[in-house]
Amino acid sequence: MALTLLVVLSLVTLLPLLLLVGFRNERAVLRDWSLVLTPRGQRKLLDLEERLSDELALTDVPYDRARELHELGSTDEAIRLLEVGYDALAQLAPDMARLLAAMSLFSRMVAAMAPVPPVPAAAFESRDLAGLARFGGLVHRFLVTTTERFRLRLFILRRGFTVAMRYLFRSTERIAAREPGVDREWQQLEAIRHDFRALSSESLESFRILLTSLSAEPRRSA
Amino acid sequence: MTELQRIALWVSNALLAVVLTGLVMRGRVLRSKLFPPYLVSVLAPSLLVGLAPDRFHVWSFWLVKETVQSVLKVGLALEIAYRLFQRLPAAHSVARTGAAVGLLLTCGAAALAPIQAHDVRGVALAVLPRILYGTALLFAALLCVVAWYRIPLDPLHKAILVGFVPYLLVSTLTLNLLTHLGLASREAAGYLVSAAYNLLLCYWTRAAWAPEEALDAEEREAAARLQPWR
Repeated sequence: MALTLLVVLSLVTLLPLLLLVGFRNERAVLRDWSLVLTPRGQRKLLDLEERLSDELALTDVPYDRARELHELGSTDEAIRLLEVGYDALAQLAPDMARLLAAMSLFSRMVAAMAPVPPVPAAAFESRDLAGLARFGGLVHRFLVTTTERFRLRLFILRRGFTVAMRYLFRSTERIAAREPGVDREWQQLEAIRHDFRALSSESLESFRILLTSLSAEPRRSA
Repeated sequence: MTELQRIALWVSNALLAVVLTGLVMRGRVLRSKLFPPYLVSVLAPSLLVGLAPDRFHVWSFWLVKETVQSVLKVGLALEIAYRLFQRLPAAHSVARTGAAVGLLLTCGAAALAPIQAHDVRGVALAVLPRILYGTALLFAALLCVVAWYRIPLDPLHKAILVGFVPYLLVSTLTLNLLTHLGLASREAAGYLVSAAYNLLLCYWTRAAWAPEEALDAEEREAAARLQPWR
């Protein structure tokens, strides 16, 4: 009867896999691979990197202006610009998260990943993010393959964006509510923006590592 | 053989012929070199059983045909694995290791099967469920590698992989229950396996006759790199 139980268990556990592959859109899968394998697809990825860099640079404008206005004592206008800046980052963060998720997927398609450094803890000003990076650095030493290290790096960065956005939301709310200790919140905001830039810069570095590995792929597989 | 069994048998034969015709008409016959021989290995004995049940609806003939089909099914899994992963070194190495472990375990489990009666029927009922289960897991392992590495599948290969896993598991279950419940349940088991196989053949018929999906230039280039046999 052991085999009967095994077969029933297999039927139940394999059902999600059968549905997943059975209803998968094969054209969408081929489209993903065309990004990896064709020069035109790789140009598309580079365009995406450029667009994200530009959008990130644009989010500095309202924050820098808000800081100036706060120092000049124009609080209402500073808060309004702060909220504009927060909205811009809140739109960018999911794009970065999606990019990191896509990178994680593409990393499975690469036969050999270029060497991957851990996310440096020194790049962050906030304690939580530096702690997260240190944890990543520790686990990095125990992983064997560069692909595993690359995925760990992506995980740390995704988690980092979540933490940074949470802090950013909290500081923006406190400043907007004009709670006591606003100056400390402005400093905190600066630190988070610095960390957000560091996370973005590390994400784009990961992207470059992936592109380097992908560009070797057609030669390897041809 | 009952009238209902005879009807199910001829439905299967008709569907097998339709699948084979579809493969030829749509130019898919070389997408898998072992799939047409497998279909023929099912159709030919099935025709013999349909035409002369008194001579061919016997355990010894059943065991020979099941053995040939089992070998072809394992070969088919290995052939599809080779075609899918030949251009992908990372996935290829995982699939190779998985296939080697799966084959070793299946052979080991078949060799160690407790045989109650040392005749054709006893050996068949003890060994075949284990081979069928091992083959099902081999196809399932391929699907796992395909899903994890997000490897694009040719529609025919997809139909073979996705169709075989549940069918082989149902067959194993039926054969295993037959061993435990005795031959009294043989008729019911036959109906269940026939129904499952006819469903599988309907799925394959759809895959064999489906028109080729039009791809854009980039998708064609990616397909040409990954599936050079297409």
